[in-house]
Amino acid sequence: MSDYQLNNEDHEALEKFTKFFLVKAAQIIVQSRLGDKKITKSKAVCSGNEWFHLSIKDIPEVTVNAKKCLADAQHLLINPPHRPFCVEISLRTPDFQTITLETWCISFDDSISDPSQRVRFNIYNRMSIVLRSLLTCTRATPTYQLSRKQSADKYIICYKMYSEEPIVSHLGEHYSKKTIGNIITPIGRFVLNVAYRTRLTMSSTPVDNGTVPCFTQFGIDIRDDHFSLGKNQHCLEEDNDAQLPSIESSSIPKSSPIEVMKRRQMSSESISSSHGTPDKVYYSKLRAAFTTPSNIAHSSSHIGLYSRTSDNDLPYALMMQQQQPQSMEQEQNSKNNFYLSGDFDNETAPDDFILVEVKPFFGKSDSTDDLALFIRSCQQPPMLESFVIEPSLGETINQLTEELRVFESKVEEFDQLVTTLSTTE
Amino acid sequence: MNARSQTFEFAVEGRQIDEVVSCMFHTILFHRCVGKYHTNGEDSYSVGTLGYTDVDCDYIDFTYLQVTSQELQRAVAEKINQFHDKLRSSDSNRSGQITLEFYQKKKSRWMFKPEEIPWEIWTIKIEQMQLSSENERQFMREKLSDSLTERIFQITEIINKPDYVPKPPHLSELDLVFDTSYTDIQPYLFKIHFSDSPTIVNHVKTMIKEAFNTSL
Repeated sequence: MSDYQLNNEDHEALEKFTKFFLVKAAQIIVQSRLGDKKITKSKAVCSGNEWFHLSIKDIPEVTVNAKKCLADAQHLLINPPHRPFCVEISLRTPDFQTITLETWCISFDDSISDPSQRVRFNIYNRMSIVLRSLLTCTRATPTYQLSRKQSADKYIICYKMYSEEPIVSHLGEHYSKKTIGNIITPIGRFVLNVAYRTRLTMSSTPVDNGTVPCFTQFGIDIRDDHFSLGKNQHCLEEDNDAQLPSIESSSIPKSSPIEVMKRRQMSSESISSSHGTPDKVYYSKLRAAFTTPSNIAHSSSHIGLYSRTSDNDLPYALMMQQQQPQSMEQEQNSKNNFYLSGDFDNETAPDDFILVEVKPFFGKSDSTDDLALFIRSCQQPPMLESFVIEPSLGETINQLTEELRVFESKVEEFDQLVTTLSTTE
Repeated sequence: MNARSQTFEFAVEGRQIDEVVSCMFHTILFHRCVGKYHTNGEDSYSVGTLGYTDVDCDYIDFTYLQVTSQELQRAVAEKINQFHDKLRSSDSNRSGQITLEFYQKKKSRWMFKPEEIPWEIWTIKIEQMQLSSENERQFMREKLSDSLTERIFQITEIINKPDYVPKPPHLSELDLVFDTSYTDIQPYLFKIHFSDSPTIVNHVKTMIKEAFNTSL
């Protein structure tokens, strides 16, 4: 730890520079992931509002979030316990699966210092240089190209800020770590790092819970330009991860089945929840939700219907095990819900009402197993009560007489009702 | 004084030369630029603000940053175009190098021209390739993007080292360190020169020239 003590004035200046340095760094990182090209003007005469002699326009939401994050940390970076300030960038698919792409971290190390550095000149200029390095490096990582190709129907890029040690476990096995720059002060050294994911492909290694992902057999590599289509940027308000600020609002995404399949494969490799929950939990959720065969037709109205496919598919096995009404609740937890109509307790339709032989669309037509019976029962509407209970002629007449007597006793009420209906306000 | 020098080598197709060199040079110049000094009196001055512009490459999957200054962009593009033309016009030579050199001026006695002392030299060696298939072209294109990523991080690493950078002089001697001819920015004095053949003869010429300059 450095023994050198800054005077009050210099310490205040350093604190102020540090706050703006962190906020500007957050602005640079988030703005570089918006998906569009940036152009700012050089000004021969500064207006006094630009920090570090750089024309960086501030997005108010980002500034607010960064300041809130710094305030939550209670102690500024340069003061003990020197909690690093991190900005995490992640990719989110339309079905809200998230994969962390990179973590930018600004830390402070009080073991390396240089008392000769002047706060108001040297350190300020060094901060300007490091921010420029940050500007250039944000364009150099693979995430930049991904962010330029984002759209609501493919994926969007999200950010999160926190004041803790950087989390890199969500970046996959082969992440790369680079140092952007450092600034030595009389009381310590700022270091700006980035750790970024280098591979967006499936891992064939078993996950922590000992099970092998059921779709590693496909082994499809996802190219960096796989998601390339338009550059329309959309915003979906979700969870605590802030969506990158954008102008347009989103609509429900529609996608082709192969892309959905590949997205799920990609996202299963090292899924990280936006809230830092363990990969294991998130992965097991995905496994239960994986129900879509590759040839299913996709539109919002078809979600939950299944085309003819093998009986060995997971969702059907799941359904076979759960023939009780409780299965309705369990199916609602999966991404693709079954459409269940009717009541399991209803009688099956009598044979003489069946005009066309019912063929379960994934089994034998004359099957008498539980699955075929279930499908048959669902296809017929419930019986109307009047077809079950048939009164005789005398009973019907008595019923009518009784009803007439009731109506005649309440004539006045009916007259009042008609009067209220006919009055106009 | 010994200038520190750094060399980067690239193997590219002819149409990629401009973008590779521009990417490298503009990344360096963005760090070796300050805002325009505006004097407010005898000894006080204010410093202007640097803007930046994203530039998408057409023949490489890459985007780089440059200082927003049309004058600077024109000056750099002109030199790179000349280098490009020289390289592509020569059938025998498929390689060349282009150098971005930062220097400061030292006042000389009498009426001699001020001495130019380089303090940082960045050299890019280009080897032209001719690719036969589209697969090969795509593969090399991706490899070039990765290579540029590595170079960008290398540049920032070098620039952030605590090495010598000329200190801002007195206001009356700004043009000994900075190029004050630009209206909106103020880069450190720099020049770009190139050759289409990095032969031993050229190296010897450069060495003799430097030795002659330092001996005066």
